[in-house]
Amino acid sequence: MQQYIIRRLIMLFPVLWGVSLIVFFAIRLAPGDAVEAQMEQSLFASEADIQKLKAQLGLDQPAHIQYIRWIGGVVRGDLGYSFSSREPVIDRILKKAPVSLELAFLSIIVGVAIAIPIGVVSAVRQDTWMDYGGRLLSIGTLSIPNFVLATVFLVFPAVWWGWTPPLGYTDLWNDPWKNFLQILPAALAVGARLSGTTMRMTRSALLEVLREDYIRTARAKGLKERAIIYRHALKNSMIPVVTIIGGQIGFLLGGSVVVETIFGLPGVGQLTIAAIRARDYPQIQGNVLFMATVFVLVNLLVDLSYAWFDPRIRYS
Amino acid sequence: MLKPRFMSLSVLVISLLALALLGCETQSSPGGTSQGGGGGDQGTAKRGGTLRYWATPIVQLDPCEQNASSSASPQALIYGKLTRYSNEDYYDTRLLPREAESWEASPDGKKYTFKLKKGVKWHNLPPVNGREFTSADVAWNIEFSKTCKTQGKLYWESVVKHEEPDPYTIVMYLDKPVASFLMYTAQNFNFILPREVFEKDGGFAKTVIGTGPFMNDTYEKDVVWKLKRNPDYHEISKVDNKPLPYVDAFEEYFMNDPASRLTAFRTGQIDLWWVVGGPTPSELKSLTDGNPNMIVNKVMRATPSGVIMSQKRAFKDFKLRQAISFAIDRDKISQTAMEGEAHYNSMIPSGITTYAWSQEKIKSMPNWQYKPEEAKRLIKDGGYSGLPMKFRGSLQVSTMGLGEKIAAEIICQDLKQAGLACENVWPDPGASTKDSRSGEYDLGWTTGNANMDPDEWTLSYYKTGATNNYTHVSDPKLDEIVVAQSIAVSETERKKLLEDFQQHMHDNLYFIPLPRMWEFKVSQPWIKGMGPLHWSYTLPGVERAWTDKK
Repeated sequence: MQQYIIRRLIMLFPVLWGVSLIVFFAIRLAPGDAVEAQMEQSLFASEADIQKLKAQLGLDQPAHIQYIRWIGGVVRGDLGYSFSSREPVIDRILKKAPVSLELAFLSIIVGVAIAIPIGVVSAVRQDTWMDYGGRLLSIGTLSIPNFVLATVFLVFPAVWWGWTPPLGYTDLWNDPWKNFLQILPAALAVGARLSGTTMRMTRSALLEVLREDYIRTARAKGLKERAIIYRHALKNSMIPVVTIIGGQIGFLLGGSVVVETIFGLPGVGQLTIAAIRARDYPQIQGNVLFMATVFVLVNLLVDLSYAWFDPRIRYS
Repeated sequence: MLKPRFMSLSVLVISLLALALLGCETQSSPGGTSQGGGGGDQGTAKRGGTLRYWATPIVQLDPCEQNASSSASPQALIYGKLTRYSNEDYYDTRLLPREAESWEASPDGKKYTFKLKKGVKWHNLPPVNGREFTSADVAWNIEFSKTCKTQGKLYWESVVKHEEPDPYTIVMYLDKPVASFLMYTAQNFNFILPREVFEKDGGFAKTVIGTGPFMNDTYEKDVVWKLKRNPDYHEISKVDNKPLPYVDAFEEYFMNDPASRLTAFRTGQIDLWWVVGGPTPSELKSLTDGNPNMIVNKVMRATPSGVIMSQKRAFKDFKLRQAISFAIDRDKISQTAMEGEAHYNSMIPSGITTYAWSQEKIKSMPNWQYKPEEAKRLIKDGGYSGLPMKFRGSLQVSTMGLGEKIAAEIICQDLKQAGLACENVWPDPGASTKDSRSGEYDLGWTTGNANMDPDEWTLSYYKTGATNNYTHVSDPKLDEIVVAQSIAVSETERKKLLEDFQQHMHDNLYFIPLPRMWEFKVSQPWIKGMGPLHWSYTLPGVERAWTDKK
């Protein structure tokens, strides 16, 4: 197991190196650069000011030289400085990451809390109105884009009850209740969408397991149905479900941009969008590397969790 | 048998759900509005409370590096200026004292003497520590502003010499008369900054200290900027004889999403919706349906608005420019894109009645009429049939609303019907500004900063070689007019020259005016005392406002 983990961690480096190459050169394909983006609000900047700024930001160098300098810093743990705020990139990420992680975590809880029970009921009561209702709900949550759901969860409480989440994001340690009220609607929107896929996977995986011989044996032995489902069947059906959820975490970290914007949550997604608009190359590169790292590590944890669900699985 | 019936039922249920979620709101004029603006008896001023406002996120705080409307409001409450606009109405440009108590101009317009108020203090924060504001501060700012990348450079560049005979007097000598010079002292973005902060930090991005009614409290990037009242502010309330402001705090929340702004305002978490642009008519209806007591003011925008064409391309030909003007159906834009709530804004903002042509005159001008058949003929005769062109939704300003975007698409459709191969493009603001400056674009929508200063929409935009001359027009006659109006000592002479400017711009079609949505300024019914609106970005009157919120 340890060797497996070490091997997987070593594999992280070529993956991140590939990601760094792709993101570095891809963002430079977009028209404009950070200097031009900044000059939009500096209408009286002279040509000399523009060239001086380009030199300060290193944009007067060829792309491959910029890459070598940047990746050299990354290897030493220095992701560089944001072009727009002049702060260290890593500081900005570390400041924003907890917001995105909290949103992702709560969204998964919401998603799983909705998906697993409904998926189980759907499977156990196959081809009844409960099953049809569950499947309809899952299709509904999959069909509706998360920005629509987010807007619905924002607007309808305002219209019906005169309530919106409190303004001005507060972190968890300063005011947990206010933080919860701010994150909850966003987590509901993201989690509802996540629950669609998870629900369907739970249902189909459980249906497959319920047809296994050992389940028939357990029934024949006289075990209660509840014990059969929750002690035997559900655990064995969780591997594909955990895979789905693990894949969603990476998506949540990078894909909550819209929801973060709608709810005014200052997370990594919002930071990335602002950086793209400003052509803030170091920030974009740093954010993408961060998300890639988290994604790979989460996938490792997901793979390791298989061994807990199914003791037959061993990593050697 | 059950499944097909169930599937039909499912389709019906999903359709009904979708309809319920999307809503079936029909468009109609915003109702439940009430004209207010703060006049009349609003009760006795009350101390305490917080004013809340929303804006789009700020990139950075240094007013010498970048200017943006979202940063201008809190900055104007923190930093001082020599004068301020009286804001008796939306377009009032009369000047009142602020940090200067009086001023005098020489008859030739080349010498200005300002007397500063005594006892004005910088905020009591390090490194300035509440010392008195003096003429030496103004002198330092004049020289420092000339090094800025923002409007501050423009405002002071003509001051070639200054003297400070005592701490409360500064005399400025200009190299030529500047008709707008006094207006500059009250302008958006012309802030007086503390020397000590620059000496300590090398800029003004980290430490924010001024002489204004509010002090910096906390700034959380992309979240909120909180200000607290300055207990040592020099302006005294005429109601209770104590220093202004009345409220304890001013908070600017950064919000990117229209739905979140609407809901925050609707539920009373935001007090003022006074950003440039305002809610659309349908958004306004949504707000006022929830609260018919909201105070709504409908004003013409303080920015020019129209189409310009790069003179570096085929548009050098007057006939082509004329064809484009004749091809555009302005009524359709007004009814469709602007929800029927539109006015014309020419190259001079229309509400500036001192200088701008009236709505009736703009609509009657021969070169700005909708004549689609004439447009087709001109294009065909000129050999321009099928000429490809890219219409940019925005040439330099990123804050284009949905109405403007729809209008841009209508314009392109009209140009296609006239025989041109128009395509809508939406470049990023940074790329767009670069191309605008180089002239490497075809045509597009231009606005400009909200500004009462005629130089902004004449000299800055149309003089040969000017930084913001995005049209890249080089017209000696136009140069003569715009320069002459900028140094006109007599107001009568300046009005005449600006009349000539508008006529010349019309005759040569360097600018095609378009309808622009009315701007709605909305405030909660518990906000009192702000006084009438003003076009300025900088929320004038906040220091005189109080909140009646229970």
